[in-house]
Amino acid sequence: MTFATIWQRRAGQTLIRVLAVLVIWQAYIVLLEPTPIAFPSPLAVWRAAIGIIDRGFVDYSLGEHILASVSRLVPAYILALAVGIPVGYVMARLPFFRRMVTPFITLFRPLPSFAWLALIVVWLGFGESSKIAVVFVAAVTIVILGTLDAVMRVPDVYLDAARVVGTPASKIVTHVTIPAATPQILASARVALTVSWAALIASELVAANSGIGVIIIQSARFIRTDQTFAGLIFLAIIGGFTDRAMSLLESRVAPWANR
Amino acid sequence: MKILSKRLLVATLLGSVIVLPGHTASAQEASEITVRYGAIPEPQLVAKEMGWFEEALGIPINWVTISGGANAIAAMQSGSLHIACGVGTPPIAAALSQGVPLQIFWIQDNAPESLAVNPEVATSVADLAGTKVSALVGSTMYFALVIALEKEGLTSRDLEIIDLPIEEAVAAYRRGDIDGAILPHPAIDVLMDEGAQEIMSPVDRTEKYGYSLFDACVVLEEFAAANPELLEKWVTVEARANDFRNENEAEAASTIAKALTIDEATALKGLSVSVQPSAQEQLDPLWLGAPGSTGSGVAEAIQITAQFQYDLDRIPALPENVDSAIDSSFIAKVVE
Repeated sequence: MTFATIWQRRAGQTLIRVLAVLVIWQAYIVLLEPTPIAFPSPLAVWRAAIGIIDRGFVDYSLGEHILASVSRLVPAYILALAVGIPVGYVMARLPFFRRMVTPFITLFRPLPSFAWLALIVVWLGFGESSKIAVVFVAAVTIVILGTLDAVMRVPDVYLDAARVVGTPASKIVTHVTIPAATPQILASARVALTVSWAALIASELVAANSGIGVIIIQSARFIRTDQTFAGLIFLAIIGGFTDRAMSLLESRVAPWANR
Repeated sequence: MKILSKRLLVATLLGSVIVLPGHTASAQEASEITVRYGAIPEPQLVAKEMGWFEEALGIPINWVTISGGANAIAAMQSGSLHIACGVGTPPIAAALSQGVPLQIFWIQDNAPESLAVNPEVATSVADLAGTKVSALVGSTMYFALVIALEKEGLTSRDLEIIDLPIEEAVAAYRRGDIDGAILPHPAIDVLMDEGAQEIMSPVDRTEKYGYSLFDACVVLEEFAAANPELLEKWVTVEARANDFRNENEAEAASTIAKALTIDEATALKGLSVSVQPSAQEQLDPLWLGAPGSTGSGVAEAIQITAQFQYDLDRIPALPENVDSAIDSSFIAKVVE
């Protein structure tokens, strides 16, 4: 089978799934007649989405809203990886450090972004830095714990085998531990990306004029459920793209991962 | 395995249809109700604290606070809320424009929110160009600010309007991140204690800028039709609370202070700026008007707000028949 036919088949399957959801959605509207503001029809949501694509939402175009969100998410996420992976690695290697840090991480990890938001706004004000901080806090603990677990799970037999053949300690890290842990680290990074999007929407609740979260939150304040749905669909599409990108990265960086 | 997964799919679909939102409460007479109230210095809070509503209605009341009138209206639509009080003009206008069958049956107050700004930055609304002012987008506060700006020849783009919830606005002012905010009491009093100066009171809003706002108690048409006696009793208690506040302001303030854990002076100040039209006054065309009347003050305020929302591209259409969303018949019965 050629690449083109595989691609066509996949696109066809996706289309069928989307159509199935739309049919169920429309059937729900026709059969149970919910009020439009409780549950708008696919057509109403389509119109709202087209309206936002054409005229933007309030003062900004859809592109500007997306750009605003992405420019908050990307630095926060990169920072979470840059901090989370080394911290997780060191925790796995140094039991003393692990015992010291773990209680704080397990204590703070369940806190929802909304709880952080209140504190972070008091600490950093309501500018861009507080929004980036909210996303960072949500993502970094997942990356730390994912890396910690990944490194701890590298089988001792790999390390012993490397030592037996006389591999120096520095090479064991770069040639054994890191390659063995990478697939799981990337998997946790992918989870962290999804969580980052959720945290971003929460962060855009406070003092944001643009962003996908602004479309979702402010449309709800005017009971524009059609626009709220459209905002959620934009978010799902962009979130889907970034998740797909991470999945491709995973297969490129660590093709040896078990699938 | 295949059969199992098919069954699972069918079960999931059925389940999703059952739990999906959108069903309004049934038209039966209520045996227990859920009510949204505002934790603000007002007679209604006094009556709630005294247990007068439960006493008069004879059924249990589940009191809830829901942030934002739009969320309260959405909760009513889903059937989990029966009476929403403290709902401002903007969410009512937005809901009516989208065909939500709301009935306004009691006016609770004149939306007593004030704009206070650091006097070194601005001493009037006309001075606000280039400043940073917090107003929760979509609220009565936001529209009060936007309309005052327009009357002073400014637009919302001449200054930075920061969309902050009440608590965050207070924190932001303390940090010096904003120059001022439009907020209800007692939050605005905190800003004024920190040196901010009031540049627009609710009275200025009405007298200087000709824009009336209000907070109301609303229900869905279906609930009003099924529970006329309940709503009549509700209005009786509201009227009693207003009388009580007029006759025993100190006691009312002390009850509010306890409920909101604020000091009595702040409670008294909040009460003094909050205007409650009496039941009789609400039948005047300035407010709700007599049952069945048209073009009342409240209807006009909704229309002005809806026009603004429409011009700002926030709502898809203007409300068709605002007059029919006003039902002063319960008040009329109580006044008789």
